[in-house]
Amino acid sequence: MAARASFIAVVALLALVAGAARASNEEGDALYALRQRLTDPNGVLQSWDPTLVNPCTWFHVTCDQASRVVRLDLGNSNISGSIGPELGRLVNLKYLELYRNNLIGDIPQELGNLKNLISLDLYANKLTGGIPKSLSKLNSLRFMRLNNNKLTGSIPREFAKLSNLKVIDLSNNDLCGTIPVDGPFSTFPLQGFENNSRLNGPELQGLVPYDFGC
Amino acid sequence: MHAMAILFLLALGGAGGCVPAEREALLAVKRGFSSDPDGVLGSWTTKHSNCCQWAGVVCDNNGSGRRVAELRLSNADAVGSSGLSGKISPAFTNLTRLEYLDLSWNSLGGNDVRFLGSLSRLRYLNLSGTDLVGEIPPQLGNLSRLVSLDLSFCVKLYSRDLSWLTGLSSLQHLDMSGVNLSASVYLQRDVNMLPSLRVLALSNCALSTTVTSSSSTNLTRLQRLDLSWNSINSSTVNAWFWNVPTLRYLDLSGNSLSGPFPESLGNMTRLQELYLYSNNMVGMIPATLHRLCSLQMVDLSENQINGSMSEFMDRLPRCALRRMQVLQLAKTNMCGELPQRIGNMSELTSLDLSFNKLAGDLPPTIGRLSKLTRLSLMDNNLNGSLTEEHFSNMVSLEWIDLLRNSMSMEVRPSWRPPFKLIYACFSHVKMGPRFPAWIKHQSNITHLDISHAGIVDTLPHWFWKSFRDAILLDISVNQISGRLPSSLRFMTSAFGIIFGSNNITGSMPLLPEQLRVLDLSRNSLYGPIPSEFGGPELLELDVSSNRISGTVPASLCQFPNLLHSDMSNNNLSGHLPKCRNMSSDLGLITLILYKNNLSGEFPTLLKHCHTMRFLDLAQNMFSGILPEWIGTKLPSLTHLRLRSNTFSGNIPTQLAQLGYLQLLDLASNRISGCIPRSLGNMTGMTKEHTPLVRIPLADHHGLGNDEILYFTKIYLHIIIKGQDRLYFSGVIYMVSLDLSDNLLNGQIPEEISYLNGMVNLNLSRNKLTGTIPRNIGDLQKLESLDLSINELSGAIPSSLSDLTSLGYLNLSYNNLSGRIPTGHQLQVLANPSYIYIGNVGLCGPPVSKKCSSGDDDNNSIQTPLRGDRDLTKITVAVGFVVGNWLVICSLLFLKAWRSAYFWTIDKAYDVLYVFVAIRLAKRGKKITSTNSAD
Repeated sequence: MAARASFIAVVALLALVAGAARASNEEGDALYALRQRLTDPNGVLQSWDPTLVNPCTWFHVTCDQASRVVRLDLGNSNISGSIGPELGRLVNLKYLELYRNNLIGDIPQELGNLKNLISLDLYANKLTGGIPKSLSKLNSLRFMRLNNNKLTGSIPREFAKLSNLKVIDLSNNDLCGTIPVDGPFSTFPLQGFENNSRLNGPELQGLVPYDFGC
Repeated sequence: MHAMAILFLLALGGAGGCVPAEREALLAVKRGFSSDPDGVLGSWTTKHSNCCQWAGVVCDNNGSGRRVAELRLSNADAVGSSGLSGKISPAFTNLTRLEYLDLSWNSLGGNDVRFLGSLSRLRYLNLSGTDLVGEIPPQLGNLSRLVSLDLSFCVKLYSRDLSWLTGLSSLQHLDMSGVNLSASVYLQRDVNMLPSLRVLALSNCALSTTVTSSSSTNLTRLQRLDLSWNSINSSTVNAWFWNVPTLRYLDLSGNSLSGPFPESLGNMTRLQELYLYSNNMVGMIPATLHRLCSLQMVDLSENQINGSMSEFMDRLPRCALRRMQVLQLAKTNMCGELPQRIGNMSELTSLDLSFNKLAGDLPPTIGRLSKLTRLSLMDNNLNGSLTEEHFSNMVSLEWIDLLRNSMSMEVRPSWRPPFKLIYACFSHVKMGPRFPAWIKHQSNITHLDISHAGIVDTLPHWFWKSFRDAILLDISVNQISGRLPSSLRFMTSAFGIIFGSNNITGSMPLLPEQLRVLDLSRNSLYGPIPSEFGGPELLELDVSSNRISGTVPASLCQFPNLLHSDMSNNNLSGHLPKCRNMSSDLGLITLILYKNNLSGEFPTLLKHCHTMRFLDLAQNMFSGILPEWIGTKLPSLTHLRLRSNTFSGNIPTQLAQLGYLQLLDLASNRISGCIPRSLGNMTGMTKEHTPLVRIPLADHHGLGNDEILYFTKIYLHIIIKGQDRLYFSGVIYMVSLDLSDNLLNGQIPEEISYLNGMVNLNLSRNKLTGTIPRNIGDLQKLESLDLSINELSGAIPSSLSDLTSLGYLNLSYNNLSGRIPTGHQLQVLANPSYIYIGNVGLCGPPVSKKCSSGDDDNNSIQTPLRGDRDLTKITVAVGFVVGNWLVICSLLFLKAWRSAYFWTIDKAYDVLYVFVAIRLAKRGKKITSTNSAD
């Protein structure tokens, strides 16, 4: 009886291990899909070998002890191309550091699936389009730096729900409308919003429409 | 006239049907050749006076006497022979009736062949593969009767001007493949003057777009056109080679053709063979193709067709489907399912759809293809099961590759397939759990790969009998149990035995003579390695992760070809053999012995391993000092792992002479003294260093290329980011220095910051003192830095925050002090408080201790910067207020806006202004208070 119980335990453990391996491989596939979008003149992604069981030995990728991808450090790497929806599959990601590159295109709304994300650093790229509302689902987010891009539209008002947000920098874009004033926004310095020619200062609740000037 | 009559009589009578003058000419030709290794001219002697009967000589038989008409001296069929060499005698010109001259594949380099232009009756001239050097003599243009000219594979020939071609008005067949024609800019004009041309082969001629760019041609009889492997990259549609309606054979492979497949292909209604592989053409084949009813062979591999297989089949000419023999579409980004009607292509002999995205089940109708000999479907997303029906009538199948799909094979144990395979790759096709019985009768197989097949069974006794003559047997990554037979060594054909990751037990047997690769890793072998285990030709020996005991046999010293040896993770003990009295060096490139119980000093056998790249002796009981000769006797070393032994003494400064060393792991030993400054000279750890990806394999019988060896066989454990990770392919890029857990003292040399290719630096758990090198921020590729548990003091250099790739940092338990730098990457590291714990002098976020003004003195560079930043903040805030006010003011004067947005606008202005002013004033306070909290 005890033998059978332990056998079941071993089977369950194996199933778990297999499950974990598959999960991390999915993360590898997502990262590899990103690699295929990117031009990489400095070869910083050359170690990204899709045939490995997981991406934990790829450079610029950090896993936790359970081999789940928790960091992507590609700041200042001279990569260009678009980000793409597949990054939304890195559900264990905590730090997404893609700053100071030549990334173009939209910020994919799928990044809103990264529930564990602590830092979203996309600053100093050439990103266009709006800031996806879905980012307001990132409850763990502490750092959001999207400054020095070409982002347009308004700052999603739902960002006021991001109660853990400590640093936000949306400066040097082409954003419009007004700035939320609730939640963490009550403490953010205005520096983080400067140089958006059509951004009209803090929201004037009840007096001016939120999208005023858009 | 008289003389002619005498010649005639001579020819008929005394000389036995051979004109003496021509016999003399032939003998002169023979004398010209200095070497005739195969004796092809052996019969050319005066003993046999009838020169018309000499080997390779054909005389004509018309009324004017037997004159030499043909010389067939080709060396094309003599494998490995250099053939005739020496001088091509001008005596050839005395053979005035010569119509046919074939000197192909002889070694005629250095000859001047201008005189051949005077053989005015010549109709056939073949000088292919003859090593001729220099410019093609334009005198060949005098051969106005020439029908066929073959100069192919004369790779040292070139031509800048082909206008002589225009003299060859009878030419039907022209092959100059391999001749460098890059400078022949009028090539097309000159070729256009040959209206009888039927065959034009200019493969590998360095042709560029300019020489082929015109859109029309006079070649109205051309049947075969081969322009493959040139640099033609014209936007393809208008080039002349798409507009030759008489073509039966078109080969444009290996160019840079781009754009869509042109519609005009549909005009080549006689086309039988179409080869366009390895170009950049994009899109589906055109619908006009349906007129090509003669099409038999199509190879479009390595283009971007990007469409569904079903649509592709629809566009193939329906009238040709039943004649089609070859269909090659590898790497064309083809998706969708393979349609049922593939079964109608009843003449198909070869089908290659490898490296695509084909999905779904393989249609059982494929089993009707009774002439199919070769089927490659590797690297697709095919799934579903393969049944007996799939092979029901495949009586001709010899070569099948199904690697890396998600298929399973479901056949009865008693199934007797209709085919006799030679090459069988079923890797990743689920065949288990029972061992597939049907392969028992496939004894013609030379290459068998049933790895990753989900087989959980014992190796059947018939296996060794059925595959006695096999070259490669790969049954790896299954759960196959059994023992290796002692008869293994009589498998005289075996080059590779790949049995890794199974449940093979017993002891290691003696190896067959010809064996090159043996992989028995991850099994349950036990007992010692036999002292003379055979396999003298071995290149790769992997017996890692078994339970092998005893010592490493001295016979290891007797494998001059052995490149890769992995005996890690076993119970080996004792000393390594010393390999004294070696006649030649070992060729070892990798020696992986980690996790055994080996002991003794740093092995002296390594003095004989000049080619060694990867050396892993970690987790053993080696002891003693690290000898100085490491720096001189192992000059090719790239990766050195000695961690977890009991090595002692200093780090020899000579280590720095290892110019390729990119990974050095000496962790967890008893190494003492200082870190030598010379380590800063290790060029292998700098950014400029390019990893040695390729291993130069000399002539090792063409088995496996070097990169495969690297990518599948090299793996190392690396402790990085606080984790033990097993690195495979990435190991060739890794730059790592791990000296942790030793007895090192003194300062961290400032020179360490020269090693700017470094990814992983771990100096933790030593007794290091002094400061962190000030320029540590120069290590731009650093991803993991661990300096914890030392006695480091002073401030953390602010340059640390320049490390944009840093994902792991540990500075805990030192005597560091002063303000913690606040740069970007340091803000976003996980567990910030653990990074700095145990340094009582540190202050500022993320630690709770506040900094006093004195703390900034430690980090004086930062102070003015921070002051400046505060100033900008205030300016920004002011600017924002003013700017916003301006916007609102302007709104006041824009009536349209006003009515649109402000419903009680007349009074709103005052309200708005006040509101904004209060908000901003509040905020201004917050800015100042946040700043002072910093």
